Amino acid sequence: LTTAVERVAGWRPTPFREFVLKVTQRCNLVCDYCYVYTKADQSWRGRPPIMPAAVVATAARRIAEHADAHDLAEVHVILHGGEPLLLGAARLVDIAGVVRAAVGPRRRIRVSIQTNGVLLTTESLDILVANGIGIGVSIDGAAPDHDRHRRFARGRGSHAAVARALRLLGEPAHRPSFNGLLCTIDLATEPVRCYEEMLRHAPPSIDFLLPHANWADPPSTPNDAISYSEWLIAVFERWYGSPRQETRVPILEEIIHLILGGAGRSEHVGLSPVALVVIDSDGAIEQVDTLKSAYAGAAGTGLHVDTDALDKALAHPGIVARQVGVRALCDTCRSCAVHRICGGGNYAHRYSPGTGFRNPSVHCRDLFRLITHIGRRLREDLATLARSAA
Amino acid sequence: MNDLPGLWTPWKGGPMSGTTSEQGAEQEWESELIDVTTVPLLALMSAEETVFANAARRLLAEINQSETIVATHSVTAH
Repeated sequence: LTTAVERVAGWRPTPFREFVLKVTQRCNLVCDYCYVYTKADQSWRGRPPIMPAAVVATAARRIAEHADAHDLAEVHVILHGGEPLLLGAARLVDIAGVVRAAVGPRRRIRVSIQTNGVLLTTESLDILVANGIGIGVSIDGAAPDHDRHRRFARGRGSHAAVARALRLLGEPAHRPSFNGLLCTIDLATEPVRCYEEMLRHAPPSIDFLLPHANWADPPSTPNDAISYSEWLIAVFERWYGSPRQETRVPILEEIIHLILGGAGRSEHVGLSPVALVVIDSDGAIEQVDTLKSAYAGAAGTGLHVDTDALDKALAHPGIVARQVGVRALCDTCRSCAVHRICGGGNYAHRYSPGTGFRNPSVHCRDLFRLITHIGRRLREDLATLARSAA
Repeated sequence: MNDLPGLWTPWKGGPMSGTTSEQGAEQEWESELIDVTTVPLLALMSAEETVFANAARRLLAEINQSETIVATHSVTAH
């Protein structure tokens, strides 16, 4: 699976549109499932705790260079960590300003942060909103469920602080920057209660993540718990069955869209090219950071913003594999009836020592059940509509 | 690859082969793939602001869009 081979077959890389800047390597929480700190890759220990100004400037120049080379109409920059708000809202605005100045006014640039919410205050929100920075917040449902995993170093849960932050974020002055909520699924959490609890914050979207796992580090599945597919199906039925759509649920929307024949926009499912690149705090150019859950160094490319254009990363086999669609899937996946919808699942979840990433997802069984369930529901509704239109 | 522990292969049976009803679902899926060209999409949009109607709107919007659609980061809420 080399770039040369793919070019022979007529394939051309898709330029990056999404740039994830690891502006800090530290976090004020110690979530027990975090892919940065608790999984195979511990490279955060050796990188600068905060992205130095010189790296920010060089990264911004590389993003601008890439946008110019491919004449991109829009780029999306995500300020990520660790916890980005450890830098303070003013510094995040500075970083956004450096990137915006480098990219220039001819291209639209969206800037957002993904935060645990604990440090959001009226003042920091005023600053972020005034500078057009979008905010996504991680929260895992109600307090007892959230606090099982998302804790401060001394063991205290963080839900109360996040709930306070979400009340501020939901105020009319701040709501324009509210991008949505992100929840990692825990089978011990009652799914509908979890969804409804998060719905109380009136988010524009609620996305649910299957826990990061792979064939060497499989997901936790207690014997007395429901499966991940049953969990997501329960949420789907509650969300889909509502007389009026209450919020967006990207993982479920993507599956619906793919079943109807559309193109996916998420790396969870589908076969659309993944057009994101990560720039770490030391300036290393990396693949998606969730690969850190697979093995040490899994996200590396050997490239650095000081010496390499981002175009070079487009030729990295790991990036190519995520842009060539069905050609990157293993034979087992290709022979499956739902592979164009599932897309093999999240790339990090396919890893197995010895065979790398050319495997089905470790969540294969649950993805299959979820997709077939949603497919059945859609077919029923389509049939009803076809009858009524006839 | 087929030696992966616990791999479930519903399409051909396997070490963790699904139940009879799951295998039935697979056969049904293969024989009844959704063909939206058989459905008047505008009819879907006549519904209220349901998930289903909004999904149809997105599909129609995409048909009229020429830009390459790409996938985005899974841990970033949009």
